[in-house]
Amino acid sequence: MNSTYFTGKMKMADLILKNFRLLYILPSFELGIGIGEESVKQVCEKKGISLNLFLLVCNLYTFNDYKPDNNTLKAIPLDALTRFLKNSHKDYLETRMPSIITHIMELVTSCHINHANIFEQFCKKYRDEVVAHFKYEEEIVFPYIIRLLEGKKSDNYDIKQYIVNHTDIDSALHDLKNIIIKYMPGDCSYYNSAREILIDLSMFEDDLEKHTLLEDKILISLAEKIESRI
Amino acid sequence: MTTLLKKYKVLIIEPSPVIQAGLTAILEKTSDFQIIRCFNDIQHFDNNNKDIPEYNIILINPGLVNTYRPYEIRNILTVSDKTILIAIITNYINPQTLGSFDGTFEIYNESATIIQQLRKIAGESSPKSNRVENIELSAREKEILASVAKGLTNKEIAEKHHISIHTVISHRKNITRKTDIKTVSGLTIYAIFNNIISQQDLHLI
Repeated sequence: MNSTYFTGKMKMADLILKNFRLLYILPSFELGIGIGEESVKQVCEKKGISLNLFLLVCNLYTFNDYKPDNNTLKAIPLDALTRFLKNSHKDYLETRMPSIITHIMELVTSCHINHANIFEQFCKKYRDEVVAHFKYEEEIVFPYIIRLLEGKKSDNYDIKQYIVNHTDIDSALHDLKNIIIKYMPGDCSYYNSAREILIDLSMFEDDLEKHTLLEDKILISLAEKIESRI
Repeated sequence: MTTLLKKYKVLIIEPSPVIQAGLTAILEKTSDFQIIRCFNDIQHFDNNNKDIPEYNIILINPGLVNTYRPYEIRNILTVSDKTILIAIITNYINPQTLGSFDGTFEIYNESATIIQQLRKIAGESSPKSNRVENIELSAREKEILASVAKGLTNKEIAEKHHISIHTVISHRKNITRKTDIKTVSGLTIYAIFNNIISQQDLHLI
């Protein structure tokens, strides 16, 4: 394993200094800043967070070439992982998306008054899709996985159905970025707000991509192994 | 050189069996042209489009398009932008129409001349990967996009425009490739911004 990846002995503050975007995932672990000189391990122990899970998430969100080995994967508590994913959903829906949507609406209303409602519809539709997507995971998939951990299968659900039903919520974000870059007015007075939106959208898109990776490659493949053993 | 390795894989769309057979005979003798299949008309080609093995050149009789007005061949034939379209000239064709082909040749020439002309056109048009791809939507693609943006299904679009579902899908693929927009809601915004549909159109659904 590459020695530059994050480990439990490192100072928590150094992780955030190395990758400021971890600031977005701290709330999903119910963590904040003001952590002094404490190591990652110390912070995790104090807050009752699985160190393995925390390091996995931080490494995955920071290093594009990071691939956890089997021992790392075995040490990931799936119930804690589903909790982290659920908290992220909440953060996306309650904080990040509303902020992006509000800014888009401000931009569109000020420069493209005629097009404001079409953007409003786009955002509303996208939000509905994301809500349905998360709802399916939280109400069907995660509870099923928790039951698997207790050694119980289900008669009418299995992991295969997740693989078939997992919808794509990334493409719409890409389309939106594309439209803003290509078709918003070139007028300088809108540049700053458009830039903020594009940066927010890009970071959100990246985070969603990692989030999907955690679900598809880690949660689901581990759950599939448990399912096959029951 | 085995036929599998021939560089140019050619389809012929031409109603005359004599011309089909003649071109096939001339080109099959060369080391670089291989005839993949012949069709009598565009309808026949469209219907079989998905089952045709890989090809990179179409020789087509421009008189097959039933119109008295000039037309853009790429709006009529559903093919990738990488396919080289060459007109088979047997009689007078509006020069404006011919301009939309990658090249033309006359069947009255000697075989050697025809082969040379075809090589020249194919050589100039390739390597295709270096050619800047045409990113403008064609008139036909804009019509299809308008229907997509209005929320019609592929089946409804096929019925409305009198084309096969396969052709609709192929147009949609090209639209997505050219605009880099995948979702229907994204395409709707694109269509409004580019005046392909108006907001009123959306309220009528």
